[in-house]
Amino acid sequence: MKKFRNYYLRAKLHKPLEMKKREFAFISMDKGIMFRHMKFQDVGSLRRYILRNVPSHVYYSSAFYDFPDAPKMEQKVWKGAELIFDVDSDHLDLECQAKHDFWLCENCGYMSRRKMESCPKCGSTKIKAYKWVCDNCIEKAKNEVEKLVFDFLINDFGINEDSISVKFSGHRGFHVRVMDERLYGMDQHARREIVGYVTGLDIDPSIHGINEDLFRGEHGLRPPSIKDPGWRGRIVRYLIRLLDDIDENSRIEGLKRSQVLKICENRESIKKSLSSSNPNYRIVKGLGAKSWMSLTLEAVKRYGVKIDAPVTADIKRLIRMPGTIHGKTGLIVKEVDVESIESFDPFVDAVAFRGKKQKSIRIDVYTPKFRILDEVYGPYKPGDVVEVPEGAAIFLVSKGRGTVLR
Amino acid sequence: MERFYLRDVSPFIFYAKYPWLGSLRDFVEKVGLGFNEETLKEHEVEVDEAVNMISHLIRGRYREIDERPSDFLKKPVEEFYKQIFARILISILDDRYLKERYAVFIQKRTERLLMEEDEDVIFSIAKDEIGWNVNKVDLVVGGKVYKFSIDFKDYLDGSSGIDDRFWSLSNRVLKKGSVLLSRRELVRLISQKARNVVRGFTSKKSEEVPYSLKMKLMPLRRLLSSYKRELKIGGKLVPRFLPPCIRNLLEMLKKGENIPHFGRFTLTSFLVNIGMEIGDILELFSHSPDFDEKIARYQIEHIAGLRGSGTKYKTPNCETLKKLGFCSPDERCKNVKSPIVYYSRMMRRRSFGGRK
Repeated sequence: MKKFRNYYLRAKLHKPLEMKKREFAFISMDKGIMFRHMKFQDVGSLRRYILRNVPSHVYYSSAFYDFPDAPKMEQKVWKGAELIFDVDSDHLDLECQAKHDFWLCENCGYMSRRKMESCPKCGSTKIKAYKWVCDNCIEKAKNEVEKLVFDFLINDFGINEDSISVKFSGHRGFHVRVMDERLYGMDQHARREIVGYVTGLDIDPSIHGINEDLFRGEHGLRPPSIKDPGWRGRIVRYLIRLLDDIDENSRIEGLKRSQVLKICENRESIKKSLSSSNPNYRIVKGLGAKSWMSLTLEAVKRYGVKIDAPVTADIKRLIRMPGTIHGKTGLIVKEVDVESIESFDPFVDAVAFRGKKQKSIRIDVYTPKFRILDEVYGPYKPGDVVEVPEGAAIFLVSKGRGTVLR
Repeated sequence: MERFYLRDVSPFIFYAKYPWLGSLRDFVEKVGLGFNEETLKEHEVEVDEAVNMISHLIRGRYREIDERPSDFLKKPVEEFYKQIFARILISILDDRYLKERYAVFIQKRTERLLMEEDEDVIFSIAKDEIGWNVNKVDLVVGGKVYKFSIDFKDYLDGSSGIDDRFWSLSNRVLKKGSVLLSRRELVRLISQKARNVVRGFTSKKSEEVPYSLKMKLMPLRRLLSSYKRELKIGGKLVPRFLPPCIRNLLEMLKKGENIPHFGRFTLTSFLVNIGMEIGDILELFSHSPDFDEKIARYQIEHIAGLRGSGTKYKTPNCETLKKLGFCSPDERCKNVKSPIVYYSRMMRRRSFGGRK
């Protein structure tokens, strides 16, 4: 707590746009209670509040209100909201998760590498998830952010790069915010449609020309070509990528094994045809409209942007304030330049506590390998007592893996 | 080149066709149409026609109020007044059911009329009247001809409420922030906007309504309440008319099985929306194993809009129910989008055509 307070004494807190119209909320360090419906005139008064209460999490609303401090939502008078996207590696299906995440039954101590709702041993539903974040998680999340920002928001939606702001969430991912006044008034319907677009989950291949009739060239509508704008061209790019990723053992929903093998045999000729400006989807016999529909859905599912959909659809979301500390890691919620997101390293760039003084930590729960300020720690077993500098110590304690020894 | 507006050339025809447009207010002011006994007397014929039109609307007889474009050319001024009065009367009646019918009517009518308009008229309604950022283009993508492009934000504004995957943004061509549209698609978008605008019409206070008009409204109110009563159940359910999803939930309730939260919400909002009394709903829920009258009453009243923010909750539609695994359709679920529609259709068949 003292450490957090020290951080906030000197922390760079930028005044958020339209600060007076936003609701602020905090989660207390001791009991984890949320205090919300607060309003601040300027960064000074906000900092004073934080220093007095030292919360573990600081949020403000993505929405703007006439009365942000009104105790009931319907009294606040909603005036609009930023368009936000939450890219969280937790929502990505990653191989590294099987290596560093586990679930523990709090009743009998049974541990599983796979997600469980109830304990197979004692039947208890008191299951605690122990999730970790590693370099791979961050890299994969970065890829999603780049895809979302450059390929979708800038290219398809025509959004100006200057109005896009990306920040490291302080934990497993990034928040992408579009601060374009024209879009503030969009309702939930509109935002849900945008989710459907960037994830591709609303795509119907037949409407894009991938169906029985259209293959025959009736109705005048043709299947997508790589040069087409929007999803049409992207469908072709994703299909080509999928063709590269498929091997003899791949399972594609809606495709028989013989068809998968056929794809592998004719991979290059299909790719060549798809890459041309007048693609022929019927180049291989036995791969008809239905198969192409299945392939399209598979490609979109694999390569579309993975986001936490409800966050974008919510017009009254509380989001973490940049410059504050994420209480579950001790890392800073930090603005990142999207052009150079590749070189952003949260385990160096977002470390709030850089002191060299060693702390003694008793490990309570198994802790996978991690890295703070270019020093690698762990893995640690419960019962280990380790001497680590404060950045690593706070990370361990915040993640609930260890306790400080006095 | 100077743009050429139908609105400026023949405003009476223009507003008779599109009485939902925002700029109508200015025009009404300009022609000095006061809302008083004098005007009403002068236009009594049109008022009566409007009343007639509304009574057809209440009964769902859209065809009888179907005008052909030639009607506008014959008597544009009369048609204009009829449409204006209809709009005013509907906002005085302030009934959700009627407003919804009127919205559907306006949408279909707008779509039909726009299809016959010149491209410039369609364009100017989208751009100058609604205020959308639309541009004329001439593009072919994937063999399809596009005549217009519209800012994606405005596209989403127009497509709101169209329940069809074809209109989902991800199934459109989106290029640098603009959605490409064919002429027919822009027409559909405008007509959907018309529907949404009509839905949002505010109600008129009855103190401002002249006496003679109040008299004309009486039979409409009676018709409305009698028509709606036929759809309502007034405390008694007709179980054989219930859609299968609701029937399943009721079965579970009667058997004393515990219904998941969303199921309770669906059931309650369904019963509230077909007009069942809160006491009767409470009675039904008393079969529930974890029944607590105080909590149950609060929740039902909340869904009915008597508590909290005061909004009456809508019953989840079929799509939602399907997604959450509550749907087990029978053959009568065809072309039905919500359990309410199913029930009211069945009830109406009983009241009007015997059984089918």
